[in-house]
Amino acid sequence: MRLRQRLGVEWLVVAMLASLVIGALNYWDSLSSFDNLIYDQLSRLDRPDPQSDVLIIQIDEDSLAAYGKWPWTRDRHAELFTELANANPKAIGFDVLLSEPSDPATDIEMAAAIAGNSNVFLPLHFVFPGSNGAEYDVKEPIGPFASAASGLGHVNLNFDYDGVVRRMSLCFGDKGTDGYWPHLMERIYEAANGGSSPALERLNSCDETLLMPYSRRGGVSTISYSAVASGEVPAEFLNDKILLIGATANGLGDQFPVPIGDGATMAGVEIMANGLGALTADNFIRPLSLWQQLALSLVPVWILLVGFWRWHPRTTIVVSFGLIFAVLAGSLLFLRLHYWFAPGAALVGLILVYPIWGWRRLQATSDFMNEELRNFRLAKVDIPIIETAAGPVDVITGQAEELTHAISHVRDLRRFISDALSNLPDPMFITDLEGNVKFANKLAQTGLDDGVQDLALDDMLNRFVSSEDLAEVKEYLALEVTPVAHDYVDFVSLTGEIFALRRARVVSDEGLLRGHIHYLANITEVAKAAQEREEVLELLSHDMRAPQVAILALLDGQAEDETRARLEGHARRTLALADNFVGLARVNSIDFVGEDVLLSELVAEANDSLWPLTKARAITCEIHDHSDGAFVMGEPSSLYRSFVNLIDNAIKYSPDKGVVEIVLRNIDLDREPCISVTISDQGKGIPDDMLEQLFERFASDDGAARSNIRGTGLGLNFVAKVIERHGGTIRGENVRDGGARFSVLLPLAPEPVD
Amino acid sequence: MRVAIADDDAEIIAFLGNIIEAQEHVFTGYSDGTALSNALLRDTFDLVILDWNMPGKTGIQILEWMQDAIDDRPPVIMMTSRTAKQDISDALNAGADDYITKPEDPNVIAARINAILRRGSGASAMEPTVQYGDYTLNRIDQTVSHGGQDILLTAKEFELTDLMFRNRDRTLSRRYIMETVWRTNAHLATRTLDMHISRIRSKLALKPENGFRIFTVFGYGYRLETLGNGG
Repeated sequence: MRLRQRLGVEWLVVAMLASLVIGALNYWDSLSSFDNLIYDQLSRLDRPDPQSDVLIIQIDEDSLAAYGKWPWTRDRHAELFTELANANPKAIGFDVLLSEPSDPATDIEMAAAIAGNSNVFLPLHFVFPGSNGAEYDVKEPIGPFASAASGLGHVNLNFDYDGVVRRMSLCFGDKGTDGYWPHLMERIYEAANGGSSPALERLNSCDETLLMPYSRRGGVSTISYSAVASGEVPAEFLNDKILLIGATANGLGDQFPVPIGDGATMAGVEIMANGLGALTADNFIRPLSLWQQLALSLVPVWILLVGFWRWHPRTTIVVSFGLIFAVLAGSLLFLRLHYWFAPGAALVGLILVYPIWGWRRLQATSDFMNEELRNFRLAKVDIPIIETAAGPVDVITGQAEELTHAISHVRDLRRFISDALSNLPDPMFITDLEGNVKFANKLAQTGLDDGVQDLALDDMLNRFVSSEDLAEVKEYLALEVTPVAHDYVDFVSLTGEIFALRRARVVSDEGLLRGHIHYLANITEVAKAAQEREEVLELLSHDMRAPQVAILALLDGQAEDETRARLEGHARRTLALADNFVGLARVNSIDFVGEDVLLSELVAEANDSLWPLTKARAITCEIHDHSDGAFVMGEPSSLYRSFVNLIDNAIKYSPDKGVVEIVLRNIDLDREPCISVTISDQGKGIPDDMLEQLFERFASDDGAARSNIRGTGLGLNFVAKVIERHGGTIRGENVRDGGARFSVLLPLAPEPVD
Repeated sequence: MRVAIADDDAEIIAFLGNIIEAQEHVFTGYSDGTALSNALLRDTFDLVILDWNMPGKTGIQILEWMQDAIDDRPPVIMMTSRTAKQDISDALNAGADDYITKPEDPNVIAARINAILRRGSGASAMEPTVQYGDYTLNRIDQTVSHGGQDILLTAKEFELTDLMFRNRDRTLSRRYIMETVWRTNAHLATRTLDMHISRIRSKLALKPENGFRIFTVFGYGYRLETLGNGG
């Protein structure tokens, strides 16, 4: 459970971190170099055809050879424009900056030649940074050219960080203001097609740059400047073409790196031809907005993150490679649709998140294993755990080995306990809280071929308990708390054996009730023995008494003489012996069931019953009752018999005409209210050697045995047992001025609740 | 009066026969339960004295059989050597009118037999004063005098005394006493009766020396026994 929480937290942290990193990478475009690399590779796969009606008039090495070193005087250009005016091309873009004046005569001559053409567009450019704190300065062609041209367009190139030209700004500044300048190619597109390009229309602002799809190198037709200017080229060849004039000769410096993968540079005018091609074919590649880019980057990473929970690590690694491939494929697909999705952030996320999560997961698992092993060592289970395996070993492997060892120990222990339970000598089964049998040992399964697993408790009982005892057993099991005095129920099984069923609660370390253990003890033998004892008691209590009763009846008609008196004495002693013996046996075998007993009444009646004895020997029994109607919780019959025995004893050992004093009073013993009964006589007292074993069985008084009056040796033993059953104490002692005194102390009954 | 005695011991039948004849009644003895039940079907008795353990039918079986088989059932005294508290209350609750444990003094047995037969004759009208041994009960003043001394009793104590004396030598169930004296069968604290019995025992000095003793039948009720001519 704790591992689960820990991993949850770790996962959240990893997920958040990955998302943040991806967001940051996208926001600051930190991976542009990497993305450009991929872009260059992907864009190679699909190169558009060059625009067929574009012709580059290039200032190449041949032209330089023909006209001398650059720059040429402007009357040279005037010649060209004059030549071009005859051909009537669709539009002319002149990619040579004219922002500074030269010889005014040649400037005027050239301006006039330009004006002779209908569709000449001249370049302007921006200088970064501008003067006087402006962002940039606009360098327009000088006045004569500007007024001679049909329009101006900017020719600034967009360099990426790696210095490669991949993008084009279709315009500069804000639309509708003086600072708004469309690109020179846009101007030409408008001139050729009579309206602004759809790519420009789609732009949200001029800050957006579009990626240019380059056609293959040299795809655009070219012709040498000198060839055109010298009139070697027929006018029909130039007619209705879009002419772009610019420098391509290496020495002129108008060369830039482009992403077409051959490592060489490209002349600015050819880059523009590609741009014009893209405008015309409307296949500019538009980068996705930041938010789209971010969302798309997060999708694959989150797929992987969610997958971490559900998939096996092996699946996850396959999936993460699949996702990397999918990201690249997605990027390519977007490219086909003329959108650019930079895959760098997503790829970095995918590549980073797997090892980081793997690390965190391993760390958490390792910590967990450590913790579990520590708990295991602390637990009460006495199992030796190997500390480390022999030889150097990786930490995690070491932990895993320890854990394996611990698990196998627990397995052994479990098997041992299960074997021990299964082989318990008495039937036993365990139920869960719903009352279904979860475990039963072998003996509890005997005769149940179909097994007892998940059997309901009632069904289990039906298979064991005879129908007569079923209700009683269920009543016992329905008790919330097992009674202390009688914590089992006995029943006759279907096979005629007698069982005692005991139920115990299964409580976990945390104190939760988990189920119940039902233990069945076979008490058939014990029960038989108990029954036999009951029969013996029956014999003693009736069959042995009956002849004595008959003797007494027989003596009734006889004349009063010595023999009759002695016969009667013997018969009565035999009766008392039988009564004490039966009483003792019962006391030892029967559960205590108490009721409210008014002790002073019980003592008075016990005394009354001995009146014939006291009368015959002129003994006085005095009862002093200070008990104020005290009740004890007692068994009246056995208590009554006990006090008869005690008073009888006192009378026996009293001299003729003596006094037996019986005192009842309430006293508190250890704050428990008690009632004390003392019975004192004026006899010879108890011999010292008898005092120790007064209440033991058959401790008869030899001295007394020689006299006419004899004890049975059972009487005081019986009394002691009974008083003990009542939670009381008894003491026998000699008083200083002669005679014995017995003191009984009994706890008072609780006040009744009305 | 005619008394039937059932006991498997001939000595006991002879012993009881002597007591009954001394009271000027007649008796017939039966030595097994079946013989007695046959006799009960064709003969009429004023009292049956039953032993518990007998050949044929046991005393308890006869007692239960009599409830169903005999229309005008005579009173029954169970007289056995079984002394267990449970046996006594079982027999009384099964319909026995009294229960005597053997051995018992002949005078006591005679008094108990007479108490049962006296009830049958419906004697004992409510006279203003009545004498029991040395005790005189004055029902108008609700006082008892003993040996020339007047003893002060509460109304309930007097009623209880009167009830016990009128039914002397008979075992009265606690329930009967409570319903008669307190005129309620509602729940009465059981200790109340114990305390009243205790009080009349000590106030009236009901002890063998004075010719009476109160005897508790555990789990059933009380009996006031007369002990012959007393001390």
